[in-house]
Amino acid sequence: MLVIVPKCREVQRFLDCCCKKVGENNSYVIYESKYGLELDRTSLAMSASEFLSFCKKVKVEAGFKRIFDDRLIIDVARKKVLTVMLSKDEYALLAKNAKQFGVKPSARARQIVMNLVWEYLEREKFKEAMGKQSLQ
Amino acid sequence: MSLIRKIPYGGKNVIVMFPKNERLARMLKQVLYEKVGETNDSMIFKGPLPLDIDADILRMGVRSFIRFCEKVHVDGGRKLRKGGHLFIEPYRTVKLNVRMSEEEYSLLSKVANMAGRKPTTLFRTFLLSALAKMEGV
Repeated sequence: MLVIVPKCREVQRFLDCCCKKVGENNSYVIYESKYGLELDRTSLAMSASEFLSFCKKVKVEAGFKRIFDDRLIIDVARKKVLTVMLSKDEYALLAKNAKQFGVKPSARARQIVMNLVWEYLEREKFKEAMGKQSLQ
Repeated sequence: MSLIRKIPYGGKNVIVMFPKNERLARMLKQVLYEKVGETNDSMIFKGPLPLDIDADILRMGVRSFIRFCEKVHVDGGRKLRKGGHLFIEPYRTVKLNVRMSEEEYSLLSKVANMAGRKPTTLFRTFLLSALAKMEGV
């Protein structure tokens, strides 16, 4: 996903930490990111109108942007659809859990599973590293 | 089977009639299953999650486990014995569509390959295990 943002020191400081800078011109900086981003108005020290005009100038390629509750949410386009069959009770458990977090069941399911996928991969990396260390 | 259908609070949960077994009854209570009735030689439980009952945990030999499985009746789901395991699963009737980015899907596929499973099966397994954990199972 490419994120094109107007030049702003606070924003650049944040994006430099989590994205890869791929280009810039006099007024814009272009970043590349594989994952979603969230920019908070208060942490950028902007007034509401400044934040709104900033958000309007942000452009996203292969993704989307959304303003929600003083936050600019930038996310990767989700083109793959995975269909999972659940029983009514399993779905009821998921819906109850999603309600607690104020999101849709499908979004909550994605959050839960992707967190576990990350944990699994991190664990495998750790095991691999420990294996290499013991061999040495 | 007729006994199971007479239970008034059938609702959405899977209802299972097992031959009486104290060890099994204790274990079922730990996995959100509640006892809804009993007869002289059987006990009836209802619960939301799939079950995997191991012959070793019940301390049964192969023949006695097969006889035990034959006596199990499931309403609102299906049973399947594979070796020393009896799987009881509620019918899956709800379709959940999850939209994912290419990156997320490739990570999921990678982990599924490592675990020797399909992405959808892995997704279901991860989701249900996490939900069960959150419910305190």
